[in-house]
Amino acid sequence: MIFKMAVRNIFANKLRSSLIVSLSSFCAALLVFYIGMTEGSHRKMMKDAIESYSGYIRIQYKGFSDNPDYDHLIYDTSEIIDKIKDIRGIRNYTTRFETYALLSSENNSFPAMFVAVEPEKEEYFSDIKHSVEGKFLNKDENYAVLGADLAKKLDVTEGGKPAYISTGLDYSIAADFIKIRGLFKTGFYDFDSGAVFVSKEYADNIFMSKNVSSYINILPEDIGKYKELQAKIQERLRNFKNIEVLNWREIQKELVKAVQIDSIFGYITIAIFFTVVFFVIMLFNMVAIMTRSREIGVLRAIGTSKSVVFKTLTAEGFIFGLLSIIIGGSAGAFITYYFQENPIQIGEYGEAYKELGFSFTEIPATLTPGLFMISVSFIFLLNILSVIIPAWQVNKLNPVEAIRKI
Amino acid sequence: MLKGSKLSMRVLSLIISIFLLCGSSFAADLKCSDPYSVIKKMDSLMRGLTSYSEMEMQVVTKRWKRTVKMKSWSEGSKKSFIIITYPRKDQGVTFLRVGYDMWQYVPRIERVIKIPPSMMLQSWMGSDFTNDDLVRESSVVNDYIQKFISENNGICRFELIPKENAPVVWGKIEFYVNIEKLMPERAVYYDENGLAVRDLSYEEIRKAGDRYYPYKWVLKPLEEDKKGRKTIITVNKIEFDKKLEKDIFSIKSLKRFSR
Repeated sequence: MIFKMAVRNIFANKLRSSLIVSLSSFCAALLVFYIGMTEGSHRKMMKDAIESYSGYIRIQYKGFSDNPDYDHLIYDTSEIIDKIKDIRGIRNYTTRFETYALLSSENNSFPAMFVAVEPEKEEYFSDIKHSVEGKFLNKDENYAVLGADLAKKLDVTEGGKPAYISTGLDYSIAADFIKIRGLFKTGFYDFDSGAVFVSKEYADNIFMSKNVSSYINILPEDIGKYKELQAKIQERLRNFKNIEVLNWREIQKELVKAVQIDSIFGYITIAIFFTVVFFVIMLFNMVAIMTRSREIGVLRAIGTSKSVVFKTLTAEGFIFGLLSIIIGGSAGAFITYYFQENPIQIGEYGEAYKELGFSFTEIPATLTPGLFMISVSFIFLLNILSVIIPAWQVNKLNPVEAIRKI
Repeated sequence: MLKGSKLSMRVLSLIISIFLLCGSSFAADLKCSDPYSVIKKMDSLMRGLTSYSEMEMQVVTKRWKRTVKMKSWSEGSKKSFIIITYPRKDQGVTFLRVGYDMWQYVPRIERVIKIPPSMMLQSWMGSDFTNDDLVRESSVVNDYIQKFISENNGICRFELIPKENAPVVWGKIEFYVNIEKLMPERAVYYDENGLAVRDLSYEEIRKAGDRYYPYKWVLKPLEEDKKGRKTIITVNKIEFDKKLEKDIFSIKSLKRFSR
């Protein structure tokens, strides 16, 4: 009965109804798309940062993140690996040794991050191998791959032999020549313009870093279950008092914080927009309901209770909301899905992001059932709320007073 | 002729002695209440016109001790040259500083490398001293405003605040000078947030020719994570105002002296 009355009312004022449904549908589509794009870009940013170098789980000496010096290295790497290597859920692990070196060609000298890696395992933990033009590293030779921009600054090319000076673990001078085997371009400014990779076996001889590492990177079999794996590793290493096990959120603290701040500002902007939309829809409903004061007065005069009137008007909001999320939600989901499959290419704007340390050439959208449900539920709620105030207002009127209204 | 020359030598010695006496009496006249003059005089005595020294640097970390021996030549505050003589692994590594520029020669790669400005704050030879410390040694006189704080048993306590736009890394230096010997006793370095980050004490102050000199320098970083670290420089031999080899402060010397 109530539902029938609500449907009749909706069809009785087609213009108002179509305006409300159009506006709500547009908002539903916009919200689904906006949340999809925001989530998509943030996920891409995180995934890039994790998979291009930093990794999902890291074992390191306590305080290494703040002071990555030689006093905060792991000096018993093999002992730790022996403890954890049989833990179920670990797909692969690798060790890295990071330091700084002054690279010098015939003409120029530049400081660079000097990273010693296990060449055969590195492809599971970073994009470096796939970003190399030329060949990757050998296990024990003094081969190196350089960031393409660093090579340009040093004025060296593939096959070149720049020298480097650094500090060994005994604080003696570590210096040698490296043969450039390939140049890499990851899109990450810091790497491309300031990093050099060599094999760990080679570096161990020069830096005296055998069995020493800056950290051990762990690749989980199921990346979604990184927290469970982190807990297992922590438990296994509980006797190593100065060792900590971090997950990607703890490793990339700054990035996680930046993404959170970006999300907060984004949601504040969209909240302001939807507050305006909410008032517009409410105003529409207010006008529409108030113009029906006489009709509602008659209904009240012939004995219809306040509660039935309120329920009828709320049912209208319910129907509007339902229509909006069906039409708008589907449209938003379709657009989001389209941009998930065909990410937006940002072209030269990506260069600006690279300066900030992000590799961005495209922004994909992400559509997940959870986010879709949150978006459409919000629009649905907005529609219900926007009829509650006018319905409450009109119910306050005396039936006789209401009949007299035009 | 010979007599004349002997006479002129005596006259010259007398003049030098009078000059030195005047100099020391000038030093004795200095008071803590004149921090600029005290620090300037102390700085010039520490350096001399030229100097040659042989020293040993011991770096103590949580993990191990390391000893480096070196020879050093300097001319005023602008030029210095260092050659590492021990350990064998680093033997022959040379450093040249002229003004704010610094070069290094490593025999293993046979290359002279200029240290870029971005690496000036890196540790020097694994010690708690930085490249910047070697380059900017003169800044206590020129880059800071010296303020007298107190005097206790002949030790003046000064506060050195960086001049506006001065190219320095410290927020403040607390400087203690022995007014009688005109030598530093201690310097505490503060960062821009006012936290004490390192403590340099000058010990074993004794005569080195016509002046006093601290034969032992102990630098301790005060940051929590660097507890247990220290760098001790022991000066085994020091000579002032001797004539130095021609062209020693040149890039060519880096390779020549390395052999």
